[in-house]
Amino acid sequence: MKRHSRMRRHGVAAVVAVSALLLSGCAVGGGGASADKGAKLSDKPVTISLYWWGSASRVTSTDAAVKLFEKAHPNVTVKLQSTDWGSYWDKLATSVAGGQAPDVMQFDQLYVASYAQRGALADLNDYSKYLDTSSLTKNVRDTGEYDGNLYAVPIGLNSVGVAVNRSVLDKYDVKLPDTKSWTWDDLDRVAKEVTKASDGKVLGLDPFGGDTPSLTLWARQRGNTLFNQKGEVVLKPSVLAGYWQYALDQIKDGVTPSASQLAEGASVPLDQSDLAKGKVAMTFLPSNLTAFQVAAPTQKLDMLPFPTTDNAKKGWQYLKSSMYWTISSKSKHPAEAAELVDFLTTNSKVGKLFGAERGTPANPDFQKVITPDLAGSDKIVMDYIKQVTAEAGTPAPITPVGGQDADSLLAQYWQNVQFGKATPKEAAVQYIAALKKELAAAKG
Amino acid sequence: MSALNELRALKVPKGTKRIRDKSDTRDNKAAAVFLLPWLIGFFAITLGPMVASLYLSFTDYNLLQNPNFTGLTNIERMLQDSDLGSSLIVTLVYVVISVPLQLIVALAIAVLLDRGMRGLSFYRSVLYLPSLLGGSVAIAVLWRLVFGGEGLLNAFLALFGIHGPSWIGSPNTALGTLIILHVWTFGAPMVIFLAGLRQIPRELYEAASTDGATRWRQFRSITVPMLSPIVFFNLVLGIIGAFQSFTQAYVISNGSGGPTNSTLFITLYLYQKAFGSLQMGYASAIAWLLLLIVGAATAINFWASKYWVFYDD
Repeated sequence: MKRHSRMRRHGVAAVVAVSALLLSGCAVGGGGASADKGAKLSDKPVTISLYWWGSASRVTSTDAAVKLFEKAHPNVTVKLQSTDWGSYWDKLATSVAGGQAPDVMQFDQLYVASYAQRGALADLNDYSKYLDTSSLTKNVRDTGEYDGNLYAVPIGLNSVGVAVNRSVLDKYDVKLPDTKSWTWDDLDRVAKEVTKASDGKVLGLDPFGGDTPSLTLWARQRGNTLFNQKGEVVLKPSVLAGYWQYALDQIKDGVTPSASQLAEGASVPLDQSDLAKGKVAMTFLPSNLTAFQVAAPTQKLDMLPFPTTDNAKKGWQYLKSSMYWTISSKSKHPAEAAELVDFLTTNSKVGKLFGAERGTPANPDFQKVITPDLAGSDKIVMDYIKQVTAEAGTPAPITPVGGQDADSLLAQYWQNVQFGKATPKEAAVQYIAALKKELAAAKG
Repeated sequence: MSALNELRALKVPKGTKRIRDKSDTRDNKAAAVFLLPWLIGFFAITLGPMVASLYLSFTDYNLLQNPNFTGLTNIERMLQDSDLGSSLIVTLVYVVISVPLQLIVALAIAVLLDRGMRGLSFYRSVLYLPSLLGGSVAIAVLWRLVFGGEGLLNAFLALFGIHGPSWIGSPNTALGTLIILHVWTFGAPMVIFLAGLRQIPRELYEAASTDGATRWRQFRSITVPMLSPIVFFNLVLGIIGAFQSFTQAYVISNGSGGPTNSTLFITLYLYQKAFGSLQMGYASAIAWLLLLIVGAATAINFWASKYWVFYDD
């Protein structure tokens, strides 16, 4: 008996000891190398890591750009790690939690505030000696700021428009109206004509409904928006309900794939998407047309502006930063990391290598460098972005802390609408409440 | 080491107890050394993280900052979380339907194979194959190709003029495709059933058939009771495994649990909360809820077993 209880006590002690070790290990190391404003370049060999997401074509250009950087900085070795978008953020969250954050990270606007507010990103103003962002316009640079500090350098720009397959329109002899400022009724009419002329073989369009960029544009046309500058949800339920009702009517009219087809197609890669396969004539797209063009080389694709209403507010258009470079606040070599970001965003050779693959370059100098060589879909997108730039108002604020689920929640409630589990009005109220709850949970 | 001690012990004449005691402790030490890899694994990889997650479930841990203790906040939140509620229902429906169905199929096939047919080991291997592959991403992708709107199943139905929907895209059928996928991986319980069937004494069947019992009667009155411990074993493992299903739903819905949360397993939901929403504290609380549910289900299982499991000893 005695021996037994002693063993038990030992066992409990061991469990407590082990778990105490683990608990201290899983907490994020506080303190450490906090922003050392006098960060200096090392003259010894240095290794920094660069983490990014993207497709196969991005591998080649990123590799080549990093090689150029290493040539210019012989003592710096850059370790590349990449993954697809789907697993990118899971991996990043775990590596940051484990104190293994990469030095330089590609970022999306959904996550900038969440990571910045929690101290995972370095304030880039501290490294302005090595990182020059002066070529960016104020509007663009501001989209990398959180709470007045610059945490992320915008790489590219995009704006949601309508990608259209002109080969299909020509085949069925469907004429587009003047699309410079076409309306939602125009879009609806074209979609119906295509569906009718092809006898349903080609559907009019893939509707919107589950992505915040298109919702934000729709709201801005109506003097509303999703998030305000303070990071609060200010979207009106009636605006969201109208946005869903518009798409829902199109589904009901049969000019789009059915709800279940849309649910199934939500996860297919670009080259198998409805537009690339010629199953729909139009789709909403954040102006990355090239990926579709590569997938459907025989089709003549074009980019049309986001439709509008007659009394839309001026300046509703805006340029969204497609992605950013950030530096980890725990980086051991922040100066070198800053130099790498500087190189990737200002060196004209990199500009040529990247082209428009990460979005139309945010750096105006890069735009000049690549313009002469642009052809096909890249040129279409560049012209499109130029048109949007001319009309653009203040950019929409980036997604606030805790709001990184804004898109997935929107898609979830949109499905409830499509399958008749909620009316657009009910779902709109629920979505806004759910999003507010997420933001509140992050504030703690 | 231990073998050497044995040798030494053999050389010592019997009756010298003290020395044997010494070698006993040495043996124990050797055992501890051999167990060490497992013990380290158990403490560091299983128990440690479990205790850590129990602590985290009472915090607001967001993966990026140190956790703050928040008391019962996460539990209060769980009570009001309608997505969690629907994920529990989806998981329960999945477990309650897929586990018994899988066991019935496994038992039926095992009984067929037990007839002593030729090429048994070949069939056994082929039928076991889905079990090896079933949880993999590749099979979940294949499932999309079979049950998609333009998938194999609809191509087959089209031969009869039936225009099938997208089975994985409809809220009413998406979970059904996952249940079929689970049933299809009946290989592991089948192999265990086969082994169990071999253990049933042939005399019982001989005696029964002399008494004029039909095959069905023999199955009901001999096979089922004699096999009940095996059924119980498979049932316990099956339920625990089904509660933890994740990959299939993740791949079929692309991580969303859709359409309209119809494939939102609780594991998928807690994964979304942990890594999508960076709410690791809340996700830990959900993980413990899952553990409690699985524990309760297993306890009920054991309690109920005394009413239907027959032990032949």
